[in-house]
Amino acid sequence: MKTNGKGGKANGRRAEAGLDAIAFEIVKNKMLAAINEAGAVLVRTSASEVVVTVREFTQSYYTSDGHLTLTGGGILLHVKSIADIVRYLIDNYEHTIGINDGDMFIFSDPYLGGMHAPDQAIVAPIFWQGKRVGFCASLTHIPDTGAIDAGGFCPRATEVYQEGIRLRGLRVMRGGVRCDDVFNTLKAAVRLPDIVELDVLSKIASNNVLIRRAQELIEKYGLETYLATNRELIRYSERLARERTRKIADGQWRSVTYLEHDGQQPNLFRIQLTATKRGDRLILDYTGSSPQAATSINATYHAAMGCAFAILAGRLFYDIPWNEGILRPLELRLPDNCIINAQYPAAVSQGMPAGGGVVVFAVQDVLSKMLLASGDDLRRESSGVFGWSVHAPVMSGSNQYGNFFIWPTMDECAGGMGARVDRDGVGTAGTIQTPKVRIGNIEEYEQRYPMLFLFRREEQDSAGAGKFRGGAGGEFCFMLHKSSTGYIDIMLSGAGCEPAIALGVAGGLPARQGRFVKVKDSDAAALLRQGRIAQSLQELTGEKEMLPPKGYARIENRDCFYLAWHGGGGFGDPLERGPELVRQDIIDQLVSRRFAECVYGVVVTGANADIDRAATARAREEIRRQRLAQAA
Amino acid sequence: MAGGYIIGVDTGGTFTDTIILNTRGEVHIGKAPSTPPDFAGGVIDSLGEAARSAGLPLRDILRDCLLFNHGSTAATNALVTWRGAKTGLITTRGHKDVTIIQRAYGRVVGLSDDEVRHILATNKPRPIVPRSLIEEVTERVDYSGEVLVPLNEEEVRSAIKRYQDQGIEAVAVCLLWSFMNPQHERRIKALLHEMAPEIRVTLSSELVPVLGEFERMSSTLANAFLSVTVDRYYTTLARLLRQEGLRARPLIVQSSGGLLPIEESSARAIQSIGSGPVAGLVGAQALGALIGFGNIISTDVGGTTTDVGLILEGKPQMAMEPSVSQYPLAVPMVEVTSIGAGGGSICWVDDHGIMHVGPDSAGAVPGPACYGKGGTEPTVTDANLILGYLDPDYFLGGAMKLDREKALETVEQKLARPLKISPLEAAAGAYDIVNGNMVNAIRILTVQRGHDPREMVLFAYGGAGPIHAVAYGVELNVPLIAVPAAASIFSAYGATRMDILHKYELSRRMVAPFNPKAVTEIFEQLESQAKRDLEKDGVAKSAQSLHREVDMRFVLQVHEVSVPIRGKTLVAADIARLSTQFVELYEKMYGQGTALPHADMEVVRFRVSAVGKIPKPPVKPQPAGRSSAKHAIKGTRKVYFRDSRRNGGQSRAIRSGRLIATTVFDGLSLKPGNRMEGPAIVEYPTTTVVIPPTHVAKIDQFMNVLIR
Repeated sequence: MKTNGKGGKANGRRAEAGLDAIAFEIVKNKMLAAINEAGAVLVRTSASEVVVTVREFTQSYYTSDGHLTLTGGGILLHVKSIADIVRYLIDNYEHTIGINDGDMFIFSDPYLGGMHAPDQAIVAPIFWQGKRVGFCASLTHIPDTGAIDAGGFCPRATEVYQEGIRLRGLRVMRGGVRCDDVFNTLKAAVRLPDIVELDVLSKIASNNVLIRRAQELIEKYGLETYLATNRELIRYSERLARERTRKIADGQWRSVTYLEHDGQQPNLFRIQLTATKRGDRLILDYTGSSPQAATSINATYHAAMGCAFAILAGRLFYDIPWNEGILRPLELRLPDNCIINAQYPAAVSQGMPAGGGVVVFAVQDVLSKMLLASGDDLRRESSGVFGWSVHAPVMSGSNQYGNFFIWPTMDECAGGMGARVDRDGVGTAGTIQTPKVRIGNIEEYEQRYPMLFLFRREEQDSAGAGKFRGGAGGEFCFMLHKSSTGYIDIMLSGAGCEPAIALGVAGGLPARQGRFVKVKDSDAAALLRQGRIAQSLQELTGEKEMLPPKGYARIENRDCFYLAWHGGGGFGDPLERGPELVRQDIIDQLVSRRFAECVYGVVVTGANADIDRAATARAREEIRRQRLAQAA
Repeated sequence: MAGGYIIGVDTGGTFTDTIILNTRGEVHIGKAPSTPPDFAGGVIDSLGEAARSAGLPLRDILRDCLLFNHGSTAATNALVTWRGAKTGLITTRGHKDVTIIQRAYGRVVGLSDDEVRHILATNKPRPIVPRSLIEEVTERVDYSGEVLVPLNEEEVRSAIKRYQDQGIEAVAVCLLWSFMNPQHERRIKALLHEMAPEIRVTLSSELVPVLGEFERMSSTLANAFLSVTVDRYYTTLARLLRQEGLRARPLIVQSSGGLLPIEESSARAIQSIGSGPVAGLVGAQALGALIGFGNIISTDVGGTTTDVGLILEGKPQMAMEPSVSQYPLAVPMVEVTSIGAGGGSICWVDDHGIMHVGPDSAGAVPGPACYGKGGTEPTVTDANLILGYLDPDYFLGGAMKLDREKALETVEQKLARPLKISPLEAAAGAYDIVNGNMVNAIRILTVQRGHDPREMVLFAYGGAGPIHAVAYGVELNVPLIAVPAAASIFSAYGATRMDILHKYELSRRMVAPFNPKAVTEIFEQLESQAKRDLEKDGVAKSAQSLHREVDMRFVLQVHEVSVPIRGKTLVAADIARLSTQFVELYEKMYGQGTALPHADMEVVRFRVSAVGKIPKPPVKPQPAGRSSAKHAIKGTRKVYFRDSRRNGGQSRAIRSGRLIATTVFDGLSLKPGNRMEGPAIVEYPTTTVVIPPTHVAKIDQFMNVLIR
């Protein structure tokens, strides 16, 4: 699948008269370069690991009436909803408090945009010779919101009021001067005032870059070219997106996934997605999904829309400029009072790990099925589901220097890639919604937090099996080390611990579920003193407690904490996988012999893992027989 | 500068180039085929060619050689062709997957935005050491450098034994926190030397003592992988050069844009990755400064690859996050992008009847079909010969005859017949396609990053560059294309324009208020090493300069701002100034009001750059003379040109073209001020400049060809 970019450029049939193809290309690429530069500035000035390492930030340009014209770089989940924020700003403040040159406005209300209260956006108008010519915005996930729980994911919340300070467009910069009143108010409301202040400043710095670059472009290419390029960008993307959508086979596909916990107790929620593709239109209909929960696992409309945008951008429209145009073929149907369309004032702080997060899986799943039914070049873009579950424990407490810390652990962002139609998925690969995501170095973690990591590695047998297997997920385990108080607190925020959510496609199996385990009163430290480093939960004594996907845990001095995150789903029947490939996986320690035998039906023997052909044939025959028996 | 010679040699994938300069400003050049995988023979051949053109015995020249600066593809080639050592990796128990997980970003590092976005098409790089060959040893040091678990030497010994059994040639050792406390790494090295002296060892704490185990391990691993190959090459080369009479110690071009003595380069193999192309870029910088251009797109078209680099405001662009083949490298690197397009690139037709050029290359052996050395695949050079751009009797100044019949035959057979077009049209198509590939690579560096080629000049060098430069320059809309006088050996020239450069780094975290004594001590420690090294390099005191820098940030930030420090022994006032300076630099980079002056600041890294200035040969302008170039006309021949269209770029539709009678000029006879209107061909012994009917060329006072 490839856009006919050249054709698009060469045919010259632009809706905008007088906009030449080269100017369009240069202005577009310069805007993208500015977005990348602004992202680099954010990364270099922010104090939040979620921003710096995990790349949870977004920069984007908007038209003067609030339409998204271009985004790139960071996380894709939030960009669409910032356009809604910009329009809210215009509708409510243009004729009241005014939107002036040098102003910047701060927002963090999940009912206006973003996923949850920690998503904080700063919107700035772009002015040229006294006239507003557009908007730009920078968004990051801040480490605290002053909610009932440190970090702003709140399993116990039942109303959005408990989830921290929500901002609706306070003017954080006025005419280029910082507004200390707003800063002081915000800082007084959160647990990490300095880091939050630095994060606000870093978004101001990022917006400064976006504004300056836009003004340079206008100076050089003229205001008309700039405005025409911005308008044309949306139309250009829409044309290409519709063209691509048209190529997908018409039909209807369904995906059903589940959430197993409401934050307070085990509880089952259904997310049902029916995708209908007809002509150049795609309808994502969530009718049949569970009603909203009484707890905080709900998602707002913005979260559901943002997740759809991210997956469509990364998987279907990867070679089309990312803006509002790519959503034009899409219609999202969300029932009222649904778990992914919660009504105010429902609590929504876990909406991303939970309701919204599962949308990420559901959209991938239906998309892969749709593509599989389409022509060859589209079929190639089908895959197992990427392993990623916002399996995010937020840790907080006192570090080895006696300072309070909050650490949203995001190693699960190194999820396994789903298997491809002709190749295995990449292990610990990253996520779709944040194309350049990273996880931290262990040395960075240990320098900041009172922990010692016994191991971090790809987890054996974590990948979804298939003719082509998914990429492996990972696991780590740490003990407390030099803690100044002797404990840390963990707020668990995961999904996919019981139901499999990184599904396979075309007969491929899902990846293994994620897990949180606490080892109470372990002997990890005693082992270290004896010159041994425990390398698995089995090697540790102490009570092993399987923690719920959502909730709370306290890790004390002798305890260890273990986390396993998801691999990618498989593609095709595992019995069709070449025994040589299975053998190589055994040698590479990705697959255990037992798993190979039970799931792939491949039997190996001896230190060299030689394939026992006869036993393999028997094992595969037996698995087929069992399948038939079960079917009957 | 006293009498004597300054020599620059650059080994490319296909040719090895030499420039010999003397103190009177005279220049002699030589070119010989490269001799991979052992490149040393080609260096000697190339030197011999240059000596022949100077009319002196090589031995005399080498004896009187003051400086021998060498850009070498040995490291790059070993990595790209995967001819490194059989490598092992020893690391801390529990952390053997560091280079497998790659912090998840090994999948995308170094890729263009377009590549990153097509997620399903991305892959992590092939692992240098597969998981089954990575050895974990029990030991643990914590963030403060405290040993929590002493090194289990028994495990180390049995790991070494396994490595010996498996025939491992090089071992990378990278333990957690080794930059805070290197004792375990050092002990492992001692055990390796004791038990397996034949195995080459790279320690992370010696190579790149910086925080961040993935980037440190990735660098250490790449270094170990290359160490054996690179060391073998440098050792052989140094011996051969000594045998031929060289007394000076060879200096090797580093990825940092400076030079290091050959012995040191052996130990730091990764730093000579991209050595040749970096030399070219430094040459472009020097030439740009001389003729008044600060914003330059530099393109080096060789036999196998085209290297593209950027100079902005007079400075080569450093890579933000250096990486090679998706391996992050924690060393400073000038950014050069390489694509598989050059004179030797093979042209082929796929099953769908579409013609492609590259990335496979016929290299120097067997080379293009027209070399008559057994090459059976049509290459770009064959196409250029058919199109009349090359003269079969004047390749390498006539030293090598090209076989036009052979070229026609393969192009007919492999391209024209399957495409059902004439050989001439097929050759023209190949020329267009390879130019298009070059345009795409340049656009990624320029247009995609917001640098407008319409405001830059294009430097075209490398043997094949000037044949293609105007064609791809037109597509990029650059206003001026410059072919340097030393175009065919430009990286060799660049190597003569550099200085010795050492960089020393140490990660140490200090929170303000800093203790002036502690800061001074760390710098003195780094500087004593720097001074020892510069002295060892034979750099006179007067030519030495040391530069101190700290990387600072607000506490809890992750990235830093580099702040230069002046002064030797630091006192409280210097330290106070440091904080102000940091805030100033910070606000300059990120905007007024973005700093947090009341927040705590910290220093996380100390750095000393040690520069040893080395003499540069003088470059003298010559007075411009008459504009007529009649005296240099060699004759005319039929040359193929596409029908005139000056500002191309949008459409790739195949245009018509025809053979035009074209004046051929002898490049060596041209004088400053001479003007040539296209269509014209300017022939030098080692390169050919093609000037289409739309363009005009002028010789400047340094003998560069400027085309507008």
